[in-house]
Amino acid sequence: MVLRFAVVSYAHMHAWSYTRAIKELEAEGKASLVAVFDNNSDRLRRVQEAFKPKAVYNDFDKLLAEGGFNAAIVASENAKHITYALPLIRAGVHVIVEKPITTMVSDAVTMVNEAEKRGVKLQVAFVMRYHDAVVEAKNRVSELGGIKSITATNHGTCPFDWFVDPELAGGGAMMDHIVHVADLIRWFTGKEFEEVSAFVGKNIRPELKVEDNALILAKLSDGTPVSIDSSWSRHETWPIWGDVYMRILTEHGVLTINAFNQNISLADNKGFHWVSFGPDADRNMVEDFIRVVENNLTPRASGLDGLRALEVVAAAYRSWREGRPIKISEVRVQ
Amino acid sequence: MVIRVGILGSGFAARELHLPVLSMISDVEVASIFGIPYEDALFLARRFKIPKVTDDWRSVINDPNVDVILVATPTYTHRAMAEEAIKAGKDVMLEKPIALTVRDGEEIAKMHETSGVKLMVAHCLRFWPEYVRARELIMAGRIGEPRVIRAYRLSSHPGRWFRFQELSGGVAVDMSIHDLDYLRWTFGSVRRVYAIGGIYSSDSATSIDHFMATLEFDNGAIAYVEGSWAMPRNFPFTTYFEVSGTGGLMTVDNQSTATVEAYVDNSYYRYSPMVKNAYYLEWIAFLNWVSKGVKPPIEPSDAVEALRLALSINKSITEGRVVNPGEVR
Repeated sequence: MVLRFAVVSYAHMHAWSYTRAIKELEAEGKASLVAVFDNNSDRLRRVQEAFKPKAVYNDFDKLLAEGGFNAAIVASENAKHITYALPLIRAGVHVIVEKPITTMVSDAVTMVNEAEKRGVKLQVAFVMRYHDAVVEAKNRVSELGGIKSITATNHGTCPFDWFVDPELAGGGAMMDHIVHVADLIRWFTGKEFEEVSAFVGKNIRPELKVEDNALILAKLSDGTPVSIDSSWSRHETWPIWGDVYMRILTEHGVLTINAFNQNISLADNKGFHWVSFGPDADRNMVEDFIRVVENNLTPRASGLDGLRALEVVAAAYRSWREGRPIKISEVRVQ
Repeated sequence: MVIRVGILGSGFAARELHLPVLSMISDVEVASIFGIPYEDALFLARRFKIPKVTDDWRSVINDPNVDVILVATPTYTHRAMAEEAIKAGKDVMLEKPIALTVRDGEEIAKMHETSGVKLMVAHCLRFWPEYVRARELIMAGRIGEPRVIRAYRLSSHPGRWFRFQELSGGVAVDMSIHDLDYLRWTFGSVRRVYAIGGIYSSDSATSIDHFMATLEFDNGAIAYVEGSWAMPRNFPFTTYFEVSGTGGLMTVDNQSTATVEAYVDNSYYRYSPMVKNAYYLEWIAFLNWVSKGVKPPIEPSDAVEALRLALSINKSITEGRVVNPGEVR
């Protein structure tokens, strides 16, 4: 069985590289790109030109009605994840949803429960779980004894566009950047977050309607202290978009991951840049999803993982509003 | 006129930081040294050609041939020694932290004010070239208004009296106070502190040796500050400083900017030798105050405020809540 994919919305730029991965796998006879949907006609035309899918849709209901695919990648604006993913799940389609899983904890619970009920795979695009350096570090860290503390950053430049629209994004830098490293922290430690504190400063870009910086401190269920800097604090002229960094203190040592450190330095008439030669985590993720569906496994990053990471985000927003550390139990929806 | 220095302490700070630079400065002579054990002081006396050695600290302070006192002893002795020196009318260079409690620090600062004796707390970050240059860039507006700051200071455990919270105040009071003083100096006063951490090295008896803190400044900027003595033995002493502002981003660290690297068997060294380093420059600043009346860029009250922030971190860790530094008295 070759998995037949639909890609739903290119609002999130990652959809482009997921589609490229599907096309590569299609060339190898491992997957096929059946349909793409986008409600933005300009974007849809560019996607059509780039990937030449079998069918293109600007009407989601029509895509759903005509079908012909058994897997979908949803990469719409955050707030619309549930709008697209839930009907797909109900139609029996296996889904990869871009992170964060949704913007509301209750919606995430609905999605997870629905996927469970329908027996479809729901995977969250925590691509860092499929990055070679992260996988290597996860394997190594167990040799170094128990994890005692983690310092993490997921910095970025400001993505603007709908990412800074509170309605569509569900928030700013916290909604965008906490989940990747919160997920890695859960994955590495096997522990859940217990209590979360967020300090949000005055905006770096005062014109934005969402927060563009945040410093998170949290305790895991066994008291392990962790920190996350989720700020869009990289200036436009910084040589790279941002970073995923973790410094892990263990029983026997320290292990540091700087996942986007594999770069060629390039100076040209546009400025100074770092050009990546790192591994293709997006393709690894899509390939693993195919394996999960074909062998009826649990995704490496499941809907439940997406829900747990979103709870950390929800606790961070509440901590910001109330000025105190928030227990995860205060934001959990049963 | 030659200024005669009396040294209290024969540990790391005296041996590695102060005596090497004092021996480079003309117009200064080290007249006397106190240390326990006596043999450590004797060793330094021979190495640095110091004429008098003693295991009685008061005799250094009361020596009429001594003009200024360096207090480079463990923190728990600072108040007693600083007070005695001020009473004897001697100008004092006092290693950081000023004291273990805000109250002790305030007493020292008050004695300095009422006595007219000069007292400088050795917050060397105010003199380290990368931090001085970074601050100049910030003050010149090169990154616009500062918004998000990160500062690390990571080390293996120093052992000895640092193992006890009641003697050293832990890593926040002893080591991260450098960053806290620098951040307050550069970004102004702090209104909220939240921190997590604890005892993570087997070398600690009671001292909090690893913490992560967030600070909110009155100007709306926020800072992440991390201090650790829980790094493994071969971990290089690491500092990192980053500021993102409305107009730009700057970062500096001591590892990627090292100018000398040496690999020896199973170990390596990575460092940035600088003859006019922070310890040299802080002594020049202090001596200019003593002999020429030029004020150095730090007041004893600044050292008290830095201590207040460090103690706010400890209080937040202990009580598990956001602390207003004004609560710490």
